[in-house]
Amino acid sequence: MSPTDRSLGWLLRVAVRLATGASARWIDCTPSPRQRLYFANHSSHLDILVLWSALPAEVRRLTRPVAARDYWDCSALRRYLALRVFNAIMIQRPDHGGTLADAARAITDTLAGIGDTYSLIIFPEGTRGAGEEMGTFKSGLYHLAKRKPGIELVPVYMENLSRILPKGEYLPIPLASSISFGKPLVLGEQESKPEFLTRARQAILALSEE
Amino acid sequence: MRGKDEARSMPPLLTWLPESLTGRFLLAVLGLLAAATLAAAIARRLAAGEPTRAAVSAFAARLRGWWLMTGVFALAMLSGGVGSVLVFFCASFLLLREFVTITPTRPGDHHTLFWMFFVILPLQYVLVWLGWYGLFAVMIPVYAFLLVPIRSAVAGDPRRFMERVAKLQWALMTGVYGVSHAPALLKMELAAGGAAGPRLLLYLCTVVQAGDAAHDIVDLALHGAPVVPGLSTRRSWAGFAASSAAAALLGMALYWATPFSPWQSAGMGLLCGVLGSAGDLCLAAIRRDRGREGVVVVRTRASMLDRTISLCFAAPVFFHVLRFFWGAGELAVF
Repeated sequence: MSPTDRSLGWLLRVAVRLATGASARWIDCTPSPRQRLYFANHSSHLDILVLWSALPAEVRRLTRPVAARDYWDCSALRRYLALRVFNAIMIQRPDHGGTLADAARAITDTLAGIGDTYSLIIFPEGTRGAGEEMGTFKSGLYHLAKRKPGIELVPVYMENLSRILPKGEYLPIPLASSISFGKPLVLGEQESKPEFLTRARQAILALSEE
Repeated sequence: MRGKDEARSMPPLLTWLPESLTGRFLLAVLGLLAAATLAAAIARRLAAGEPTRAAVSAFAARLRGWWLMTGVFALAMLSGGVGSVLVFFCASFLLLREFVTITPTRPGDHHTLFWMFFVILPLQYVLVWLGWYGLFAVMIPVYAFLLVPIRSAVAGDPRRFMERVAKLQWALMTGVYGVSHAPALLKMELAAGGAAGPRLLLYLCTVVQAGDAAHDIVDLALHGAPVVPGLSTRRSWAGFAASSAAAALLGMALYWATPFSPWQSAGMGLLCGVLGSAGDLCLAAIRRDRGREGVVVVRTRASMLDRTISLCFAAPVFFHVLRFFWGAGELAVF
């Protein structure tokens, strides 16, 4: 990361603070630089930026978001932000012009991208929801957890972001938002895919009522 | 020659504070705050029993907000006109943000909200800064009033249209229009002449805050009969009486810094106190209606609305009563 990338990142974080006052609430979970998997509800293009800004500096430096290639790789600015500022891992979404082979590759690329040091930010709905309702989870979260046994999966609930920048809009408005980090889950040894995905989704829903 | 230079290099603040009327007024308010803070610290030691302790800690929280507000006012006044306008612009921005956050809107309101935050809000404060009273007084009640439904209609979402538009207009009127009357006091010309603006602003802020503090203390300490049981069980008649009395008495005690006679000053204090309590009741109604969602903001940070809703209600009325009876503007001529 060059000084330019770093100062741009700082500017972005200050702007996010001013516009959303985004405050992080850690509920039954404490910030730690250990390897973790943060999974969050997805309702706005700002989600990556806001969640990334909410992490404490020592955690943020060791955390990489997963970014969809079909969105983040289609202009120079987005590519720059994703790769140089957020240090994102670009993947091809299989349901957005990719194939089944891409799905498998997305998992291997992600695992290679985090190694044994980096934490990961992932939006398991795969795409932004239409509004308040959270969509069902894609299986990526399960496969990652399976390949990284024992890793802590931290549910994150982001509130109000769909109102700050709704789907299809390009001008954000300033509204107060909050980000809640919940009690980490661990994939059970005998747990099936649907069971686990439902449990993970429930964990975010529970945070929204906290 | 040299001595004269030294006198000139003395910080102007130190000579200004005791010499000018505004400076003395600021000192008086700071003294009052210091005394109240001391009283709160002593009361905290002596407090026995839950209701008293709750009252003392609510009072201490009020005092913190009051110190902050007075400090910001003092800075704004010292920095001249632009500083005050900027301070109130920021306060307005935070208020509007908080208000819209607890108000349900639909995606169809997005562009209207954008206009509210990025055009109407800054424009109102530019008008305050320019002292363009004619447009300042009508921009939001007339032009923004029409712009909000027009923009939302163009967005093409008919669901709950009236409700949504009314909510946005309420947010603009309280959070932007109401608050902007406080810095507008700085530009007011009085028939008696002289620059009374900063003192009037400090007077308004002080009586309103004193009223709020008295309301809190008496409500929590006595748990009297509620004013409107359906809205808030906390806000009591006893608190209302104490709040009005505190604002009136303090107003009277501060008459020397205003263009009012002692009784007029008590009356203006009473007016601000009563309006402050009324604003607080309206906020209670909003919070009660919003239920859980209404506290979303509160749980993450100190609520700006709770601290300033009284000012939002008192400022415009104070401004217009003042202008009508003491102003040098065209109204006084007619």
